[in-house]
Amino acid sequence: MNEKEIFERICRGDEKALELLYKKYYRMMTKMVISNSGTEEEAMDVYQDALIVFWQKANSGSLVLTSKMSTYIYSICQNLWRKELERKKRLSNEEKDSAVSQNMDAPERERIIRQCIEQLGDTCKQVLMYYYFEELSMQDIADKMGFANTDTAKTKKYKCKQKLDELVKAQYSEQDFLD
Amino acid sequence: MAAERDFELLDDYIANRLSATDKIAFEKRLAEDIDLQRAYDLQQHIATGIRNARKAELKALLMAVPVPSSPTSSFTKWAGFSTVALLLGISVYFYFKPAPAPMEVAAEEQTVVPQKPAVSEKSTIQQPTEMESPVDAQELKPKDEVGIPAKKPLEEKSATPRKLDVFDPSEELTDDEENMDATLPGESKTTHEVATASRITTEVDKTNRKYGFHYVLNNDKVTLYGSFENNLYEILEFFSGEKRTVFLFYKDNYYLLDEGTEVKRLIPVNDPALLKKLMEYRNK
Repeated sequence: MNEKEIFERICRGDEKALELLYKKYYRMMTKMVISNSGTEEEAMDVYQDALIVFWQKANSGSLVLTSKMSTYIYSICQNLWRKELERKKRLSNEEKDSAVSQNMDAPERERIIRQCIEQLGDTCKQVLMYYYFEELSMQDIADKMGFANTDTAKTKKYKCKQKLDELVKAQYSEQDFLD
Repeated sequence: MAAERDFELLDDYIANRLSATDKIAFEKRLAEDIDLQRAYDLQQHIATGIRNARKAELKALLMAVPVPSSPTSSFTKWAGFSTVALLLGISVYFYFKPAPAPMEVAAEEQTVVPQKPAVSEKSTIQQPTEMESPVDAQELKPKDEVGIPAKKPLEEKSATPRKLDVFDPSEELTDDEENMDATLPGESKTTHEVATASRITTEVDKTNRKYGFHYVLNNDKVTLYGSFENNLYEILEFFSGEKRTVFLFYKDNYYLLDEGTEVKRLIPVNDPALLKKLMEYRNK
C-alpha cells in the first residue's frame, strides 16, 4: 500500500491503516528522539502522540498535506519532543514545587469523567468520541454508525451527552466539585 | 446554570464548530455571564475527558502493534551480529559433532551446573538453546522496561561458559509440559510439579488516566491498565525450579510481565525465536 492509499484510509478512519503507518515509520521517528537524549520509552510515547495528532487532524478534514506524510509526522514528533524537553527543564528548576501544588483536583476530576464515560454504552461512547475527538460532521457520524440520517445522529449525540452530563454532575456533587 | 437554549451553543463552541463571528459573539457573552462561565468549565472538563479517553484508546491500539526493535548504534549492531555468528558456529559444531559429543557435553554441563547433575541426560537437547539465550536476552530487554528475572552482570561470569539466568521457554517445551501453566482469566489448570492451581488473578483498570497500556504483577495478581477487552487476554505462567516467568497474551502479541510493585508499560516480545516457542506452547 502506498502513502496516498494509507493517507486516504486514515482520513476515512481506518484504524488498520494507522497500525500500518505506525509500523512503517517506527524506526525513523523513534530514532530522532533516541538520538536527542531520549529513552526508547519516551521515543515510543512521542511517536504515538504524534500519530494521534495526525489521526485527529486527518479525520477532522482539517489537514491538507503539502509535503510527504512522513515529513509531516516527523515535524510533529520534533515539536512534541522539543516541548517535552522544555517541560523537563522547567521541572528541574525551582518551578517544580509550584507546579506540583497547582490544581490538585484535576486528576480526580479526570478520573471521574473517565469512569462516567465507561458507564455509557458503546454506541454513545463512539458517537461522543467521533464528535469531540475526530470532530466528524453529523453526516459522517450517521454514515459510520449506520444511523438513518443526520437528525438521528444529532438526537443520539444530544441524548448521550445529556446522559454523560448527568453522570458527571452526580459524581461531582458527591465530591464537592460543583460550585 | 446557563439556560437550556445555551447548551447547544456552548457545546458547538467547545467542539470548535462555531463560525468566526459566532465565536467572537459567544466569547463576549462568556466574559460577562458568570453562570455561563461555570457551565463552560464543566462542559470543557467533560469534552477534555472524552478526548483523553479516545486518545487512550488509540494509544492502546498502537501499543499492541508489534514493532521492530529500537534503533541501535552501528557498533552495537556489529557486536550483535558477531556474537550471533559466533554462537551459531559453536552450536552448529556441537550439534553435528559425532559420537563422543554427548560425553563431553555432559561433563561440561556438570562443571557449569554442579547442583543439577540430573540435567546431563538433557544436555544434548539443551545445547542449541543455550547458544540462543544471549540473543534472546538482548532482544527481550529494551533498556530497563522488560526486566528479566535474575539476569547476572557480565562481570560476574567466570572463564568457563556459563548459562545465562534468562528464561527460555524452549527448556520447558523440550521437557514435560506439566511444569507449565497457562490460564485464561478466571480459570486455572492443575500442574504435576507445582501441584496447585495457578494463583495469578487478573484485574483490569480501564479508568486510570495516567496508564494506557501498562501492568503491575505483584503478589500473584496482575493489574492491567488500559482498554483491555474482557476475556481476550491470557496469562501464561512458566516454572523453572523456583523461578517463575509470566507472559501476557493479548490480541496476537505476547508481553513479558516482570514482577514488582512498579507500574510498567507493556512492550510486545519481538524476538522471533521466543515468539515461535511461545506460539508453539500456546497452540498445544
